[in-house]
Amino acid sequence: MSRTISRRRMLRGLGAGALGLPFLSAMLPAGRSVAQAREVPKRLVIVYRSNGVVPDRWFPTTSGGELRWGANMMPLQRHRADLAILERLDMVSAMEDPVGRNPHDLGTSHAAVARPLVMGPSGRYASAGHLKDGSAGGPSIDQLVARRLRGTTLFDSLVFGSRAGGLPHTPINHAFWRDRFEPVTPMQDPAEAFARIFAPLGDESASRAAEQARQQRLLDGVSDDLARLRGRLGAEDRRRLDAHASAVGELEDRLAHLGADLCQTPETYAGGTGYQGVGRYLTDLMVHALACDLTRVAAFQWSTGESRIRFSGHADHHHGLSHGGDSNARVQEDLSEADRFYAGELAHLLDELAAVEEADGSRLLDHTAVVFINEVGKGNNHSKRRLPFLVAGMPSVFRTGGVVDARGAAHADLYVSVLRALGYDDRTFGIPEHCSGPLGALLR
Amino acid sequence: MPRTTTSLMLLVGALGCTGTIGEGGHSPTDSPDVAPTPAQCAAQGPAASTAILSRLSARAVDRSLEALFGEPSTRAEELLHDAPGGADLVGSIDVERQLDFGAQVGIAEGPRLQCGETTECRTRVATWGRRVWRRPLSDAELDALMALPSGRERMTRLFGSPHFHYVPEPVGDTPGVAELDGWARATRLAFALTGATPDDALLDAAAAGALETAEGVRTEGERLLGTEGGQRWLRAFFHWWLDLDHLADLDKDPEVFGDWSDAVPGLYRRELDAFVDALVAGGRLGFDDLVSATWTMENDALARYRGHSAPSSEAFVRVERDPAHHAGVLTSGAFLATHARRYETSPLHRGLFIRERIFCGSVGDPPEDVEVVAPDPDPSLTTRERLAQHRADPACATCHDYLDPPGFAFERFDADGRLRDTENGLPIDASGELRGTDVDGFFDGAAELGARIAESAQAQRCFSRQWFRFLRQSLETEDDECAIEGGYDAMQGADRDARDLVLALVTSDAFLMRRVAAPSDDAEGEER
Repeated sequence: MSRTISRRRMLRGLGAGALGLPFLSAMLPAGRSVAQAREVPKRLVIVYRSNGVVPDRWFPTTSGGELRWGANMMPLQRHRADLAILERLDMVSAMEDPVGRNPHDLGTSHAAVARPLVMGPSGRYASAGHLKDGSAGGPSIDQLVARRLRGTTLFDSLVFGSRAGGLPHTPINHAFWRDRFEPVTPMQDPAEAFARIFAPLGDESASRAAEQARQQRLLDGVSDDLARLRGRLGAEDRRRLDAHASAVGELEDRLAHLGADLCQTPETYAGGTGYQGVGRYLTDLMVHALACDLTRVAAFQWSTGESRIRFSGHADHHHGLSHGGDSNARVQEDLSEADRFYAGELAHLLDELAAVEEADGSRLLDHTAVVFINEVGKGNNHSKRRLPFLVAGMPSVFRTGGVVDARGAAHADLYVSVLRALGYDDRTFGIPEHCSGPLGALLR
Repeated sequence: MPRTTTSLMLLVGALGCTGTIGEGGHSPTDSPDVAPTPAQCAAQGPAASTAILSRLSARAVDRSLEALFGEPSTRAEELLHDAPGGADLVGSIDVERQLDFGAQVGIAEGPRLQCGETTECRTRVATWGRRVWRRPLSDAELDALMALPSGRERMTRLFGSPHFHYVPEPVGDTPGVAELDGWARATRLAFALTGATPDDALLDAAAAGALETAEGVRTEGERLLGTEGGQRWLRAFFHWWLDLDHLADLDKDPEVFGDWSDAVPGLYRRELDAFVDALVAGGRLGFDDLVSATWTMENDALARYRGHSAPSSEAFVRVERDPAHHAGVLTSGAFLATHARRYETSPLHRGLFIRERIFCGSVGDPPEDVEVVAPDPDPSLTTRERLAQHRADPACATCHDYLDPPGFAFERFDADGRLRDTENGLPIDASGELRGTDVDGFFDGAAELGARIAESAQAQRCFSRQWFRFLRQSLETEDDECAIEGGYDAMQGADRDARDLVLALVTSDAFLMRRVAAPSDDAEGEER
């Protein structure tokens, strides 16, 4: 992973014309030190996709005491030792949500949050025509952890996505939330993501004093404006603006962090485009950011709830297909292809995490809890039971290497186990009514 | 002021498949469409909803740059990366994006503010400051800008600032309904009617106190509707209402629609725009014409695509169409082709549109854990016949009896938007029934459906509701119901012109005021 390439050349390769040289790049002194040895930190990665799976071809079966993998999970087989396949895990919080009713809104906003949806100002939780309202009920697991790690690394968290756009404040469009009404909009532009995360590392240009002074004036000006704007607003608006102020604070923190131990820039962008190409490159950036300890929490959102991605050669988009009949062979094959695609992309992520060697010789994957989540179990009945979730990594903590039978436990329980694996002693996640502590079967 | 809207809450209850707005349930109930009475609205006093401090969307920023600098812009879309609605909260990367955006505008437009310590320079900076921050700058703010060493830095500061990116509406902290000041009104009005930042004339009106009355706002509203930006935004409403977000990159299955091409979506877009323009040019944007006109606008390319040879010009001209099948925007190519599958029509999606966007009826989602299975293709049946199979299930029929039949009206139009006589060699039945509306009954084809909609008070009230949502770019609250009813009333005048509805909405209390909620104890204490 440690390939040194001229950052400027890379920016050209990325076609970062619109962006130019990003803000932080001017603020850095030249010359970087590489990460020093220290205790290897724990990391968390959540990967989201939607529309459920074809259960018969996903979940393993046992015959003669031997585990037979589902055909659509085969792309992951090389990682079987690092993988825990969840069986009979249920999205209990979503099944009993008194507010939400659209199964995709529900599934997407419960998948990593496990709290009831909340209504928006209009008194609706979502969807009246194409205007939407309402929110997930609280922070998602990644953002909860990010908040606890605040200030530890350059970025509290990094959230990426491929074609994960949509309206704000719309439960169906966002799997990841800082808090209620604060969805995290994933970074989806490879050039921008590279420039924001890595361009500040190791700018070799000589004299940037003038530029630095200009940027500092700008930042000071914005801080002044913010204070003045705050003074003009009522209490409700001030609360909202405080999130902006905290973001400015985070930016200042990042300035203060610059010059600490950072590592080399990642591989150049080969120009892969489209759903998969963008996804892959951003996945690689994500791994590199974790490897460099620029962040310890990352998430990836493939498309949105009720994904309308149409795979090449398919008669309809993914959501349309997911409402095909179980006996429609053509539809089931197309859906299987989609399942194999996502399994393959997860396998690629695990490849990358396994390939990074930490200072003590262990793999990055040994210190990373990866959770692969979905909005529903099965597309055409929106089932919230038998979620096709996977946990990977940290094989000394998680019971990887086979099936973990959750026996109908709530998916919130899984997140408690994840928190335990990360070194926290939480007893519950989401709302306590729909959580009964860590999922024992998952932990060694 | 205490809340006096309790009685109006009846309007937004859960009413099942035939409900009007609200969440809906799984079984239909026959509640009538209840609108607030004038007496109720009078008794209620000024009503306006609270709002969440909003941030300009990237698109709104780009339209504002266009208005300010006279050149098309995609700068914000490229740099700000936010979602279309723009209200997302920010992380530090978003702040960086705003700063970078400011820097880019600074580089491009900075020379405009490159000037020395002269009075003329200070005036110029103040003028631009007022344009960008949509209010006059204080002396201290102006001093700070003048102290910056270059025009580039001044422009950067203006466009990187939260004063530009946020839309503050200062109304204090006293709970109740408060009047917005002229600057906030100018901003609301300009974004509602032109999708962009206020122009100088509107800011002058705010400075002169002309926006302190509803009449003053109306005068400016009429002016804005007549501007080029106003006309463009009027078209934008129809794209929004008809849900045409995906029109530009619409594609159809080449095995089914061999002569579909990338050019068709553009022709369909121009057809719709030309239709709206023609109504406006004719002096009346009538609801009845919008949903029941039997003419459209075509150029030679579109006529050829539709297989007839009427106009022979590149420009779009008025063409009379078969009155048995046509119904204004509802039979526009843009609507029909986007509300269909890639390879076949979808009466359900077209019917859903009629239910939700024309009649503002709610539609319950399918119950949890019920298999929602699309019928498999079968070349020996029509689409209608295949849908009949799933409506035979009583559990589905409770809702689908309200959804599918209005969609059948458009079965004479294929998924590519063109008229057809048969499907799979079988005759087409475009008859259906409206249920749960004030114009219930049987119809045969789109023209008869359009004629019923044109006469429906429910549909016209819904039209007012849709406009309200578009103008405010958010969902209405119960506090907004009287404003919406006022919009409907305004369209009942001699002309039944939709522009009267629009002007009534932007001069309503809901637009001119803002509610300050009593402090709530929220969920602040929860474990984070």
